[in-house]
Amino acid sequence: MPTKINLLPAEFVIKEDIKKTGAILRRVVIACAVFFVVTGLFGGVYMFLTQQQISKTKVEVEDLRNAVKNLEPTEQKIFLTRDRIAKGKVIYDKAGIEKSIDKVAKTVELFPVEISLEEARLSPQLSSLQFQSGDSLVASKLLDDLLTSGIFESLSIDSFDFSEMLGYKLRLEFN
Amino acid sequence: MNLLPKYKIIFVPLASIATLIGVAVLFIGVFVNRLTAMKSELEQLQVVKKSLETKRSILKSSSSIDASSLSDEVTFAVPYKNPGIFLLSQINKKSKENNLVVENLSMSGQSEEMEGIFSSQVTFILSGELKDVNNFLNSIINSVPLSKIDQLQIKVDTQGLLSASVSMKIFWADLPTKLPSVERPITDLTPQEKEILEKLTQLDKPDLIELKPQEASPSTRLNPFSEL
Repeated sequence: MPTKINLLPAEFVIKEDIKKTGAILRRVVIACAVFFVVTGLFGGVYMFLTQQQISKTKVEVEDLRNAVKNLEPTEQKIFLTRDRIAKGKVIYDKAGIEKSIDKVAKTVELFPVEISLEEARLSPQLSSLQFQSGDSLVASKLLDDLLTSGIFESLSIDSFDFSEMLGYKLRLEFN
Repeated sequence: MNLLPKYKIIFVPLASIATLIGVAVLFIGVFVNRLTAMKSELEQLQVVKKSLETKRSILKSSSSIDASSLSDEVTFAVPYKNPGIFLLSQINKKSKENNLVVENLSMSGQSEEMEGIFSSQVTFILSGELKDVNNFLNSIINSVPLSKIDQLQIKVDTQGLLSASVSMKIFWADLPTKLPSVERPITDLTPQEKEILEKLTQLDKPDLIELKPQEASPSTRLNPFSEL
């Protein structure tokens, strides 16, 4: 029966547990290397695909940019229209007397024949209307009519004069 | 360094693992940075693409084509030069239509109302019937160029003759000088913008005579230097 003879010096003899640890560590190295290579491959493929997507999107963006440039005349006109609309809005928003003109017209429509308009002063801040009447009852009725007409948001009597020659003179302020 | 074989069997794999981990950390850092940059670039490109797609579809839409076709009309309403001559034309036309007499017509120089919008003050006196004055003013308000009546003084004398002193402003505004970048998104007109657009395009326009260029006909043109 053959006998195991170890001629190596004692310090070169590897113990069984060290051998086992070494074998395990070698497997770990192989596993790590495989994992590293596989992960690297996946990462590379993912980067390649992303790069492809970027290139494709760049081409699409360039095509769209050209398409939009071809529509530039329409865009210029829309831009101009929009600009004029914005400026128009600023002008429309400015205070004017358009509503007051309408109010004066509606008021004069309510005047009976005995009443005549003398003066109207219209401004964005305050407007006034002066009229005369030979009959106080007619003037009073007109005031009633004006108050119930809903033409004015606010209406006040600024002055009320009487002279024998001209009769009653009323000055109304409104806005 | 000479290691004993019994230690080599452990240290070599350990060194390999350490090297692999080091290389992995280095690669992961580079990979993550590169991928983040690529993702960011892709996201930006997709935003631009979406914006351009929207812009193209809006520019091709019928409402945009309508809006663009109205650019001349709105430029008439809010012109880029002092529209005094148009207003004078409108005053002349509408005063005749309403049997009114216009006197003391004057126009002041320009003043800047706000950035890019200029105005000029126009004053005149009207004589006629109150109803006609009212019609005239309403008609002027609803005409190009866009204007605002800021003062009105109506006086009726003892003989029943009416005179109306009118003070109004006409406006004009600089044209935009440059278009925004191609990538800048464009939106459709808002309901409020559409409402103003409608008001601006419905304003009455002055009668203008279009002067056409003379037709070139060299064959019929006489040579002034020819011998008779």
